[in-house]
Amino acid sequence: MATDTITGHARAPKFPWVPVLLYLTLGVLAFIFIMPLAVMVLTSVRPLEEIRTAGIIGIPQHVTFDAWGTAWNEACIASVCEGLQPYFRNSLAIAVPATLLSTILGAVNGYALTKFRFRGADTLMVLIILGCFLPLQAVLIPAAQTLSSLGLANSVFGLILIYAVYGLPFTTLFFRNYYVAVPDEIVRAATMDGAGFWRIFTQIMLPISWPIFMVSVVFQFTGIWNEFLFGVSFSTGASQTVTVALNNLVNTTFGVKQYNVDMAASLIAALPVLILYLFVGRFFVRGLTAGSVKG
Amino acid sequence: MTKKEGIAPSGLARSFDWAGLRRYLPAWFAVAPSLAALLVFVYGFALWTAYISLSASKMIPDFTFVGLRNYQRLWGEDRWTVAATNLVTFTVLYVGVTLAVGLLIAILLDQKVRLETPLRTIFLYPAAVSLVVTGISWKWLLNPGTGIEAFVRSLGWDNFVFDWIIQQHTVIFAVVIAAVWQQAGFVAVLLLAALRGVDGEMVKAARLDGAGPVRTYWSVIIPAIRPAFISAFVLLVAFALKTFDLVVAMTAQGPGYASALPSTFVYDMAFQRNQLGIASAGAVSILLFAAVIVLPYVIWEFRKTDGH
Amino acid sequence: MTTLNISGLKKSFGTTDVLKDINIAVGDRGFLVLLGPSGCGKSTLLNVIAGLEQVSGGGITMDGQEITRVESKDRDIAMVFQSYALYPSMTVERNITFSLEVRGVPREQRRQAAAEVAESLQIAHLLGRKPSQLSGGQRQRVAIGRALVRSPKVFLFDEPLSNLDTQLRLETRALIKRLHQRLGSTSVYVTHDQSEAMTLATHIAVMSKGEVAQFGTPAEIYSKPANLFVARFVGTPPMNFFPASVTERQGQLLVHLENCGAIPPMDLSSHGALLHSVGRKLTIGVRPDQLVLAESAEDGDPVLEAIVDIVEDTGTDMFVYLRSGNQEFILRQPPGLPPKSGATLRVALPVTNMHFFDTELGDRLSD
Ligand SMILES: Nc1ncnc2c1ncn2[C@@H]1O[C@H](COP(=O)(O)OP(=O)(O)OP(=O)(O)O)[C@@H](O)[C@H]1O
Ligand SMILES: [Mg+2]
Repeated sequence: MATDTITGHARAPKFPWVPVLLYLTLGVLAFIFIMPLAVMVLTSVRPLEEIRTAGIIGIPQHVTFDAWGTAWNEACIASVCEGLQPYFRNSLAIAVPATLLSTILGAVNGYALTKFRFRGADTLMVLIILGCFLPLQAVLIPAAQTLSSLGLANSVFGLILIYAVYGLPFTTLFFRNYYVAVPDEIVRAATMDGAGFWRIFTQIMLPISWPIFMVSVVFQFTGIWNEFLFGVSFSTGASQTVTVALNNLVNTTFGVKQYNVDMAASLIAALPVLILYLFVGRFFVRGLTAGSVKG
Repeated sequence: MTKKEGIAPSGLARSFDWAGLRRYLPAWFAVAPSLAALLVFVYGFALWTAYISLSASKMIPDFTFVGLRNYQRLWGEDRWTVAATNLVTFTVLYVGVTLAVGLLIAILLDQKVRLETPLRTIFLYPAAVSLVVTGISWKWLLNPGTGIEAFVRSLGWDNFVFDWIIQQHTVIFAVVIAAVWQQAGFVAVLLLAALRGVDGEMVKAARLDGAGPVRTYWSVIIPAIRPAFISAFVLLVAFALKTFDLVVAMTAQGPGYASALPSTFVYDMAFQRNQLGIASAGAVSILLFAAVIVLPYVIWEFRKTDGH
Repeated sequence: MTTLNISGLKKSFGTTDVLKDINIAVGDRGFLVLLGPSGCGKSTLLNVIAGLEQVSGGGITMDGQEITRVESKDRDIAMVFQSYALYPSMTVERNITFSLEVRGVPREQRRQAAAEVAESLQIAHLLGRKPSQLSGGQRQRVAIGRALVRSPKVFLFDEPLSNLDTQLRLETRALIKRLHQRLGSTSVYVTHDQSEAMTLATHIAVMSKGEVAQFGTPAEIYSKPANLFVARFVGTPPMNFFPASVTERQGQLLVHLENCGAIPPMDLSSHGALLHSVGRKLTIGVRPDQLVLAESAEDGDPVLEAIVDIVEDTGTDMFVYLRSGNQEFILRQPPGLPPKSGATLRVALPVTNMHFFDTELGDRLSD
C-alpha cells in the first residue's frame, strides 16, 4: 500500500507551519474574542467614578461588587426598582418547561418519523423541519393575536407555548439526525420481542439518546433564554424575560449612565447559559457534529 | 388486535391495508400534536400574515381586500429600502466573514496546538451570549467616546479614529463585527470537527503527490468538508434573517434609521405604528427572501434520504 | 412440530415488485435456506414471514393456520439479525430476556431462563455486560440467545454469520446446526454463502430477482440445477459452460461444441430430451471436479486439447485454469505436482456428468 511507504514521514506534525506565526495568530484572535467579556467583567467591579474618569476600558483600581448587587435587586427597570431578579425568575419559569417540552416532543417526532416510515413520513419530516428557517417576523402578528384571544398574552404560559412550538423543528431535526443512524434492525428486533411503539421508545431508544438529548436541551435553553423578539412582543411589565428586562435596563436609563451596573446586569443575564456551556458545551459540540457532519 | 380474525383472501390484499394502518397508528398519534401545532403556528400563521398583507388592516385587523397596495407603500418607504439594503449587505458580509474567520480558526486549531481545549472554549463562548448582551457590549466597545477609540487615544495616538457605529454609511459594518464575533467560534468548532473527520490517508496521498500545505487544504481538505460548510452556511443565513435583537440593543436602528433591518421595521410597524398591513407585507417579503435561499437546500438535503 | 407454507406471496414497495409469486413449504424440523445474490429479496421475504412487512398478495400459513395478517409479536417467531441488533443500553441478560419482560414473565423466571440459554451458548460469564463490551462472536451468540429464550415455533436468521471472521463463522455455523438438531425447530435462514447453505439446509430455495429459481434439497440443487442461474450460482468454483448446438442427421442427434476448435460432434442419441432442441442454442455444463484427464476418459466422451493458463493450489485442491480455442474452463485436481503454465492437457468431458440447458430460455433439458 502506498501509505506504508510514508509512515516514516507521517510521524512529523501535519505540516511544518512556522509555529510562531501559528501561535501569534491564535493569540491575537483569542484576545479579540475574550476582550468583550474581559471588559464587561472588569468594568462591572469598578466604581462608577473611576469609569467616568478613566473610560470603560481599564484595569480596576478598587474592586467592588456593589454594581452586581444593584443589578440583581435594586436597579430600576421602567418604574420598578427590583433589579433583574424577578425577570430572571420569569426566564427560568419559561425556559425550563419550554426546553423540556420541545425536547421530548422532538424526540418522539424524530423516532416516529425515522423508525416508522409510514407513507408520507418523509414529507411530514420536511414540513416540520422547514420550520427551522421560518423568519419569526412572519408569524409575529398572528401569534400576538392568537395569544391575546387565548388570554395568554403577557403570561408565562403564552411564552412557554410559543417557545416550545417554534423549538420543535430544531429538536425534531436533531433527533432525526441521531435516530437515522440507529439501525432499523434494533426496532425490528424489539417488535419481534413484542414491544410496542411506546415501549421501544422509552426502553430502547431513549436510553441511548442522552448525547442528542444534551444537544437539544443546551440548544433550546440557550435559544429561549436569549430570545428577544417574542419576549419583547409578548411580555411586558412584570412578565418580562430577563433578556428583555436587560435591554430595558441598559437602553432606557435616564440620567447618569451606570456602566458598572449595566455590565453586571449583562453578565447576570448571560451567566446561566455561560455556565451551561462551560459544563456541557463539550457534549453539545460533540453531539451536534455527530449528526451534521456525516453527510 | 385480534389474533384469529378472518383472513382476507389474497384477492382482497390489494384493498385497504388495515394491518399497516394498525401498525403505524401509534406513530401517527405521536406526531399528531406537534404536527397540528406546527401546521397552525408555522404554516397557518404565515398564510394569515400573507392574508393581512393584502388587507387594509391598520391597528386592528380589517379584512378589506386591497390587493398589493401595502406592498406598493412598503417599497415606497425609504426606511424599508434602507432596511432591505442593509439586510443584503449584512447577510453577505456576516455569512462570508463568519465562514472565513471560522475556517481560519478551525485550521489553526487543527495544527495540533497546545492548549486547544481552553482556546476552543474562548472561541465558542460568545455563542452562548445573547445578541442583546453582544449588542450592549459591542456598543460600548465601538462607541468612540467610551470604547476602543477612546482607549487607543488615551495611549497617545491622538488621531486614532474608529467610529463606524456613529456613521450612517458604516454603522452596518459595526453590526457585522459584533455578529461575526458571536458566531465565528461556533462555526469554527463545527468545521474543526469536520476537519478531524477527513480521511487521513487522503491527506497523505496528497502530500505524496507533492502538494504543499496550502494546496492540500485548498484542493483536498476543504472540498472534503463541503457538507459541513453547507450546513454552516444555511445556519448562518437563517440567523442573519432572524437578526433583530442585535440591532435593537446595539444601535437602536440608528443613527437615524441607518441600521434598520426588515425585522426591526416590521416590529415597529406592527407594534409602534399600528400599521399591520404594511408590517405584514414586510414580513412576507422576508419570508420570500428566506424561501428563495433555503428551500433549494432543504429539498436537496432531504431528497437524498427519500428513496430507501 | 411446525410447518410453514408460503403460497403465491407478493410484495412490492411502491411500484417496484420485490417478491413475485413465491411458493415455498418447510416441513417439521425443516431447515430452509434462502440463497441468492444481493438484492434478490431474501431479507424482504424473511421480514414478511416475521410480520415486519405487510404482504401485497398471497399468504403464509403456520401449521395450517393463516398468519398473513397476524401481528409480528403474536406469530411466535424469533429472528436473528445480520447486525445483531442488540439493545445497546441493556445488559446481555436483559437483552436476552426482553421478550419475556414484555410478556410480563416474573423476574426470577426470567433470570433462570437467561441462565439456561447462556449456559447452552457458553456466554454465562457475559450476562452482566453491555453489548459494547462484547466481541463480534459474543454479540452473535447473545443475538441467538435472545431468539432461543422464547422457544419459538420458527427461527429466522438473516445472514447471521456475515460479520464474523472465517474461524468464528465455522464455529457459529456448527453451533446453529447443533441447536437445530437438538431443538428441531423449523428454521428459515438467509445467506449468500453457499457452503453455509449446503451444510445447514434440509431445503434450499435459490432466489433470483424476487422469484424462486429452484426449490429442493441441497443434493438436488447441486446435482440437478433447474436452470442456468442456479447452475451458475451454486458450486465453487462455478460450473464450466460450453456453448453448443444440436443437429439431427440420419436419426442421430449430434452435439457440436462451438468454441473448442475442430473436434468431432458427440452422438447423444440416447438423450431423448435433446430432440426438441434441434436447431437451438444449447449450453452444456460440467462441474470442474467432474472433468477428467483424457487417460481416464470413457469412450465417446469428447476430448479437448487445452492449454494451462494458471494453477491455483489451495492445499486440498488444485484448480487448473484452461483454455481451448475460445473456450475457458476450470479443472479440479487432487493436490500433486501442478502442470506448468503453457503446457497442454487433454481433458475429457464425461457425457454422464453433463448438464444440458437451453441457452435462450435458461431451462434445464431434463433427462
Ligand atoms: N423499504 C423498501 N422500499 C423500497 N425498496 C426496497 C425496500 N426494502 C428493500 N427494497 C428493495 O428490494 C430489493 C430486495 O431487497 P432485500 O433487502 O430483500 O435484498 P436481499 O436479498 O436481502 O439482499 P442482501 O443480500 O444484499 O441483503 C432490493 O432491490 C431493495 O432495493
Ligand atoms: Mg438482506
